[in-house]
Amino acid sequence: MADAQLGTAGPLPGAESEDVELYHPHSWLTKYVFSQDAKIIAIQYASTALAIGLVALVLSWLVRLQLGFPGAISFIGPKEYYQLITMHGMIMVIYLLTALFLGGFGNYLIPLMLGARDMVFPYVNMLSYWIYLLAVLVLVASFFAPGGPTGAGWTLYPPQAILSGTPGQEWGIVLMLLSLILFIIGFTMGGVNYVVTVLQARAPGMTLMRMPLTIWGIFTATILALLAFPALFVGAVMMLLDRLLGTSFFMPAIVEAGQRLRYNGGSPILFQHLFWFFGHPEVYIVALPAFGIVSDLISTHARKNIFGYRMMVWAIVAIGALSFVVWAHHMYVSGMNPYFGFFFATTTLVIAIPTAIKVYNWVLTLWRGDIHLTLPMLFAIAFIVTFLNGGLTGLFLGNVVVDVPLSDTMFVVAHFHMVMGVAPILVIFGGLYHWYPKVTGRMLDERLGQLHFWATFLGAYAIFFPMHYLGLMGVPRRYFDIEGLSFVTPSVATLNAFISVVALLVGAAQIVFLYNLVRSLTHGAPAGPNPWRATTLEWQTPETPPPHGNWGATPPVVYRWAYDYSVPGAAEDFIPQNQPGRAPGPAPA
Amino acid sequence: MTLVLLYLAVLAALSARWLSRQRLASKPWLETGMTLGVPAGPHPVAPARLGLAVLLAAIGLLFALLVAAYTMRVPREAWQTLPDPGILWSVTGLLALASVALHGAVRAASRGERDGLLLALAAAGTATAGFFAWQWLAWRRLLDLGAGPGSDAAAAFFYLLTALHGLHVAGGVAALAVIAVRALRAADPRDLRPAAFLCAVYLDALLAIWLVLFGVLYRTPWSGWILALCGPL
Repeated sequence: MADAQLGTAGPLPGAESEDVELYHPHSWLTKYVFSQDAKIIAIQYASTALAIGLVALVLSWLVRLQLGFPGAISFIGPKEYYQLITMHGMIMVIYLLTALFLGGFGNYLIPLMLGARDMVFPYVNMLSYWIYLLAVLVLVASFFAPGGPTGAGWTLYPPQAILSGTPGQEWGIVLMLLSLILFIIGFTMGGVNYVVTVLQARAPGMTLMRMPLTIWGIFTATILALLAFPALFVGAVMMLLDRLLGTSFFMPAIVEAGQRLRYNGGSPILFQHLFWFFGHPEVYIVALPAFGIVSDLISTHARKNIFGYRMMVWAIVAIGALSFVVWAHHMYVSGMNPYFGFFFATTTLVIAIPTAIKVYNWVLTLWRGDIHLTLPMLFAIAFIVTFLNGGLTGLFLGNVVVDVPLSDTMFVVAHFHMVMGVAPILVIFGGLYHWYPKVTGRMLDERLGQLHFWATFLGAYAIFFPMHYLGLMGVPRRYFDIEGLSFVTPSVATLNAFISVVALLVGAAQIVFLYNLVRSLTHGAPAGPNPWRATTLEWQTPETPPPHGNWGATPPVVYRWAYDYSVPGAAEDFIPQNQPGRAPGPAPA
Repeated sequence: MTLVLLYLAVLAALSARWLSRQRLASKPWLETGMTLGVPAGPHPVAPARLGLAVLLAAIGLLFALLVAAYTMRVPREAWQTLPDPGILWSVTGLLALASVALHGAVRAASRGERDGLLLALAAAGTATAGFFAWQWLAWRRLLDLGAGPGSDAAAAFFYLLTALHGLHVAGGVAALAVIAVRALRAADPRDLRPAAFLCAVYLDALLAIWLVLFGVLYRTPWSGWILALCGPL
């Protein structure tokens, strides 16, 4: 047992960080707009992401209205339908989930949870946000460009992405690719910041193995993103050149409307490799921060130390590493050497092992815990259930022989919405309910929150459970209208209508959440410094909301791990990380 | 994608080596106190150096992916058929000169010699300007031969690889210009040593990347190594 003397005047731990000279804003503009404070930047990221997420929500409503009630909305034709699904998917995956987890939660929590005063490169951090905002604006501009946004599908597969039959071929695809390039440049600036801050700006005593799992998740996801986004960058630049300069990186010799185009010899499969080399790690870029956050929510609100902390850390690292050798499982139907298919199927299934370890550990943390069914806890439990469901259908799709008949059906849509849409969004909500009191000093309204939770959770299941059955019945995805198809039974229309009605209701519940966010800024009950009686450093700041520099005159010193809950013999059921003194007894592993 | 996987394997090995020193097998729930710091290394790395290392890792992967894309897209018979490689040899020499000059700037800054620092920065700036001029000349020659971006895959990759590499060099030149302006104003040129060092390392990395690109685009003594690494999976 590597126990240590406590509360003594021994030497401080080996220089995890040294106190830094902060940039101090001199005007309202530099304090709240062009701010270099990570907390303000986090709020800017989160607000922008939620705003563009609202656009994606409206787009999904329109998609569902078309599917549930074909022809009911006069302005939605096949062209518009493809534009709607493309923009909905891209916004949700990149501009909402990635930006909110890493730019929003990352910026707010990394310095505070590690006991740092700010990110190590505040100016670059500020630039990161403004480039992200520019990327969002360029994307939004495509709605107003001639021909509208691209309708190539969120995977932007060539050759169809830049052929004239695809909506948005003139401007939409160009703006989309430019926006992605900008996003990646902006993210890289932020990502370098997050990594260096985690490695070098931790408070004295905050060893890596004392970091909360939220930070482990964000840290590992950032490394994944720094290594995965270059592939999307390369793909986007090359496709942009194919579109604008007539190169043939991805475009094969092709005849369009009876005319042979200028392209020759390009490889669409090359784009798929590049896209999925980014695309699959992207799943974990979103999932790993969610894993980390949900671990902290469960531990805090079950008043119990996280079960198997070391395993949780190792699992995060293992998932991150494995996520780079599974990309081609998205390409089974593109054709490949059968041995490759076997390899990628195997690595895909192997990822289930560390992932399952995490699920077991969450459940075992809850086991015999003092569970408080607060809103963050409700969302955390909902995440576990949803992620498990989404993960199980992933096992279906990870197998080549099962995947082939299910490819391009609504089963796939239901799967990835459960595992990559609903599940991480539940964590985002849980995280926002959990940390809102620290950000604003006020609690979110409980009754509105309960309404929001139950409508979202039950609604998501009412939408996506039946959707799996649609897929099993052979209903294809990306079809504007399935009426009249001989292989589609009439009951599909009824189920589609039901799903659409529920989707509208679930969407309305998100408006309630946004209302709650705004209303509670002024009407929420005062939160106090640590309303959840949590152990981690962000709850131990001298002021709430934390001021510029976070810690007043003296940065904190860390004496223990992040999960000292319900320690036998302790005066309270939690011991903050910065509280000196020996824990009265060893906690169970 | 072999090159990409190898690159990732190297990064993974370095990460694993670093992680192995972080006491990941410790039991933090049993370790209470404040004497449990990270094992003391020789010297803590400055944040800017670490930041640059992380950035270069991402940039390195970007170019590894581009080279992988080149090998997957360009037919073998079309590899390394650039006309007039002499220009590219000149480009390589100029970039190497810029790198050497920047290391001279680092040494001058270390000694506190303002004039030496400015001279070395000017030399590096001139060399990079020459780099861009010769790169432009190479583009002109290709265009004059009718090998525009849309002519064939090898030409398209030539423009793409050199343009993206050039943009990264331009970033280094911007940093170099900032250092030069600060050198004119700084009370003590020694203060500029860290920045000059980072700029020099950045250009070194871009020189290394350029050598790989050159080896792909034209038959060089080291092309065989690169081609062996770029074989199909």
